[in-house]
Amino acid sequence: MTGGFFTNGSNGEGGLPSSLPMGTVVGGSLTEGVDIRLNPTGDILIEDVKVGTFVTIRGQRYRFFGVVTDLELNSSDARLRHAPPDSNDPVLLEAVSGTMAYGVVSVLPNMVLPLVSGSDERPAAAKTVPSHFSPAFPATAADVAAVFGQEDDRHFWIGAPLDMDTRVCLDLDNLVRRSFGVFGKSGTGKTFLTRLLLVGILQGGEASSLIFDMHSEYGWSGQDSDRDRQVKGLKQLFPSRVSTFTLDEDSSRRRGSSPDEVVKIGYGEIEPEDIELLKDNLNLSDVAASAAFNLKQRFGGNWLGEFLQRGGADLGELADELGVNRAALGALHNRLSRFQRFPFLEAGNRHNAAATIIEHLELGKHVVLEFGRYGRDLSAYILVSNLLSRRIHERYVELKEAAEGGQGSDPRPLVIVIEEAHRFLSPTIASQTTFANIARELRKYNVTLMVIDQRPGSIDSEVMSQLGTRITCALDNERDIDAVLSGTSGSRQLRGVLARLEEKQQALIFGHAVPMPVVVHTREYGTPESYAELTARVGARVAEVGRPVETREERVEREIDELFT
Amino acid sequence: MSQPLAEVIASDSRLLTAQCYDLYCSPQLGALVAVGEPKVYAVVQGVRTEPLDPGRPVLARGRGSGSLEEVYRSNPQIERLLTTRFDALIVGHELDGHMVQLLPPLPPPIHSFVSACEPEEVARFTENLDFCRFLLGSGPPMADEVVVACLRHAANCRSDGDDFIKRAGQAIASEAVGDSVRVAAILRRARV
Repeated sequence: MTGGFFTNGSNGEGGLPSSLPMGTVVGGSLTEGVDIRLNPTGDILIEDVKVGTFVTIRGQRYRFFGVVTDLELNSSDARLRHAPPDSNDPVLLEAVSGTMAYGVVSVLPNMVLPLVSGSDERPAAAKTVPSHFSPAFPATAADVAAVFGQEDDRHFWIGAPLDMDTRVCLDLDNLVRRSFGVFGKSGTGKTFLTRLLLVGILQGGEASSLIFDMHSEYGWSGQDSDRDRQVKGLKQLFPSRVSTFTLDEDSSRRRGSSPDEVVKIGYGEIEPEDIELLKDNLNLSDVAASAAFNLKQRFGGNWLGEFLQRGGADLGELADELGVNRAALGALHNRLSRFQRFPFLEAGNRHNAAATIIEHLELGKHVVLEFGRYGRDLSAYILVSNLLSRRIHERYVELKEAAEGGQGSDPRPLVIVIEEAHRFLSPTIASQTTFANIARELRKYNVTLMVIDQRPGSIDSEVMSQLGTRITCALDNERDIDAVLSGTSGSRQLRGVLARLEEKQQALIFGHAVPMPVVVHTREYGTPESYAELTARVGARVAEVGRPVETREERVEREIDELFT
Repeated sequence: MSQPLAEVIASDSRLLTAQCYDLYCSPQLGALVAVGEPKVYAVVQGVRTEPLDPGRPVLARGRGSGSLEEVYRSNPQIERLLTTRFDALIVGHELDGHMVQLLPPLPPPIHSFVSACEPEEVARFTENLDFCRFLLGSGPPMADEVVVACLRHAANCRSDGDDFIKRAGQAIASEAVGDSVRVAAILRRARV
């Protein structure tokens, strides 16, 4: 903004003319929001104002920046309801409209801005309300920029406010500092939003991300089913900054992706806790699931490999030896045998996928683990993502504690991205997963979660309460809406906004990454122009961490060289 | 300026009564009149014709006459015994050469000349619609009838009659915000 007194210019194509006062404050409260009676001049009709749009109110001491949370038709004479004017009488309609029958806009004032544009004062949370009869204006692009920040290394342009051609930016540092969630029912654009956020995290350079890519849509390319086209994944946009790992090399190759690493997991890496987590998916009883702990006690590290080699009468003997129910152990064996169908699981313990991932992450790489065809098997997704996250988390805890003890530096902040999060974080199993620990520990160990889900109502409320920023597309289940808004101030007003989000490309964002709740029309992703814009801005902070990582081919080549020299 | 047609015979800050020089030659209900110098503006809110001497009631004289004109022709004294008077609600005055829609500091003196405003003057005066407040507040039983008559009169004097009625409708609706039925009735009749 430039110096001098604030002037309202046009707020962009398609928006309300911001030079015209839309109305006057006539009542309200800080908690419920203020009521703005639309001016009788009829320049701005109630139909021009939409829930979720921004408004500035020019008070005596501050300018207030708020969001429209509700619209109401009001009248000074209750008889108008019972004896409305003749709709064929334009003169009478015109006389009554705006005078006796008028629109009232409820605005929640979230921020106060300095009265004089260009002042050093920063926007701050509103702790008061504008005086009676303060004039209200549609917010300008300058107001939005003052509140949401200009696009820079730290602020990522996520989209535009409703009906405005200006940019809403997320504070990336605040976003990744705590766990955050992306919600929305199926088909509302969660995946596109997630791609944008991942690009943002990548641009911010503050953190690395590890994406458990269930449907293989973030790494190399993804599908835009609405427009029936392929969109580029992170690896295509930022080839030197992203490493793709895969569980299903064939699938990756078929999709034209050449993964940097193929992940193999040894049976020895699977812990009884992992089985406990899969109890529901594998349809195991409590007794059967807990038998895994007995097996671990009996066989040690390679308990699963040993167990799967047994069969028939051996199982009965083993059950007797362990003192567990024969049928339960049989069921466990039966279910775990399914793991043998997963080629990425191998006997022994010679792989250390987690270590390879950490190596990439520490070099500032962003890792996408594509599940290929195994993404359709929820057991595989839960098993692998929980197992790897546990390992990585343990390693981060070690590194962090070492750093606190003066040995080495802090590990680079990491955002772990999980989909179908309610499968990991439901109240019944949340306590057993690494993810719940990560969510609860906040940034203590520099690891946070990005939770993507369409059923937030099924996520443990304690975990939900730890999410610093919530980004939600349209939801229509009451329980899900309640869960997303729980613990948020002004949730009653936000509920109205959330309920009216469009099915596509709109999201409500609130929490640490934005100074106030905001509905955005998410920016375009998938066109050549959008790719150019997304890749143009790679911040200085990114450049610092962009060291090359040895690819699988390079490593094999190096090892062969070392072998023969 | 048009010729005086009446003279003030009683006045207070809000209301004045004028006696017409000629029987039945009163300005119409709702018409804007100018009184004295500097001008006080008033809207005619009631016209009456009555005996000059309140002690001499008017007697019916038309039995056997064929028409009203014949009654008057046969009884030339009637015009000497009757007079036309009207009441007008003060709605503004002239201040430093400008029309203001405020009550004058003092009522116009008795015997001030009253003349009907020309259409051009009516158009200028009714550019501002604050005077509607005086009319609406003048009290029953005639207030709304006077408003209707005044709006019709003003609309006829203006080139933008329809637009004027729209604007006046909004002004009246703003004044009578709690009474949609009244506003509707006024506007409906103002356009008949």
